[in-house]
Amino acid sequence: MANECEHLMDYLAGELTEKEAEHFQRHLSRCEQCSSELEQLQEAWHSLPSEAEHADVPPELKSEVMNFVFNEASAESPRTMDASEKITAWTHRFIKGFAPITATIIVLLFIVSAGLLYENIQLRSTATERITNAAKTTQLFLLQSIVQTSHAKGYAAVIKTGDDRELIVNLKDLPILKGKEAYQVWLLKDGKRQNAGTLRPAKDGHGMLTYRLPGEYKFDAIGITLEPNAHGTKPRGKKVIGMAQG
Amino acid sequence: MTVPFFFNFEPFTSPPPCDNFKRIIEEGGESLRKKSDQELMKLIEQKHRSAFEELYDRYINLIYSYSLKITKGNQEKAKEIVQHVFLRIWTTKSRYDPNKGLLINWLITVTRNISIDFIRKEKKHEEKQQMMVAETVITQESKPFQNIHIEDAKKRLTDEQQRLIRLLYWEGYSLREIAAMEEEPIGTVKSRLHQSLKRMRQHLKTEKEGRVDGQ
Ligand SMILES: [Zn+2]
Repeated sequence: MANECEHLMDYLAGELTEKEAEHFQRHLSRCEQCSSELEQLQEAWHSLPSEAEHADVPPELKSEVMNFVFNEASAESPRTMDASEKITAWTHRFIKGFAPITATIIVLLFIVSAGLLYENIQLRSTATERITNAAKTTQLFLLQSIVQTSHAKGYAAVIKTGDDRELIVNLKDLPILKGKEAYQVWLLKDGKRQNAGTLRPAKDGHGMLTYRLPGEYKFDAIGITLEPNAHGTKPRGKKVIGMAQG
Repeated sequence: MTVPFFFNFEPFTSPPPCDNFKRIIEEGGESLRKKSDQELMKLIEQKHRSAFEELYDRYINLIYSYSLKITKGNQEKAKEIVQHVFLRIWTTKSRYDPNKGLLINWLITVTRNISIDFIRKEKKHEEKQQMMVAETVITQESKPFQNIHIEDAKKRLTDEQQRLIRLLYWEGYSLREIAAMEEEPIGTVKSRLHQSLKRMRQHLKTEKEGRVDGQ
């Protein structure tokens, strides 16, 4: 027993291996002396960070962190040649499904002018401060199913409010999912994918997702895959929804 | 104020039902701010990005300040540490357990572990570092600290006790390394640290009680 108790400081300082730490945790549940000591030591230990002076966070740090996390996280797992070949193939398929179409542009123009008109009305009728905060649609994509088995359709829009940009994906007639399956939204820019989150449709087949776009991030295509669960950092399932073809 | 723009969509898709408006607007903003730390971590586990950003907004000040101190004010290194901390939070499988204490303590533990990995890797590239850093530590003047109470509590410790805590907590030396530097058995180092921390805690406690009494 006494021998085990000697590891208290190593445990507190985080110097035990994962296995040793688990072992010591079992000891803690049996040894009242250690668990009461640990509690007291932790009080002091957790007060140590407050020695750090308050520092101003560099404003660019947030987008640096987000880019780092999401690029890094999606670059992780199978690092074989196989995987990168798959990614390339996937990218080609992705791009092919995304030919820009006139109809979208027309609708987009219509939306923009409707938006402007709306803003004009607002301008006349309400306080100016509300206008400066108003959300604007800066990008719009019509989406539709690219598989025979579904008639899902909807849109994806980028909404700008002040400095924040949010992607909104709104779909209906989505096939109901089985088990843990989820639809996952991917953005594509210069051949690089970015995960924009997952959604599961409601019983009526309606599904929605919002995603705060990091920093200055821009994308030129969007696709949706059907995934076995919502935890993937890269596409594993097949693409089921793409940008609408004329 | 973000609601009206949706009318823009009327011409080409039927507008989503009203509670959906509310829901997406809430998920993207206000309501996340009202979520508890625990709720936030749950969402992050489900790869909810807005929740992740909310966590960043909530704790970046502390994490960055901490990283800056542990890197002795090196901004570039501090930023690198912060990036890895958030990557770990996003990808880790060892989850925050609310039964084991506050989220901030968990976050700081993650930050300290990553920082110490960095520091140790750096040390490997240096020669004779142990002696040099040890000397720096001795002569280093303590900066004005933000928290007066912990500073007071620490002042009650002897220089030697303060130094041990600094070597272990902020400088990333292992207990074994400290023992070697001190030319003491590791058991002695451990019990000294143990005593120092307990003494600190005692002073923190009396101050806290004193403050409550004083009010
Ligand atoms: Zn024990």
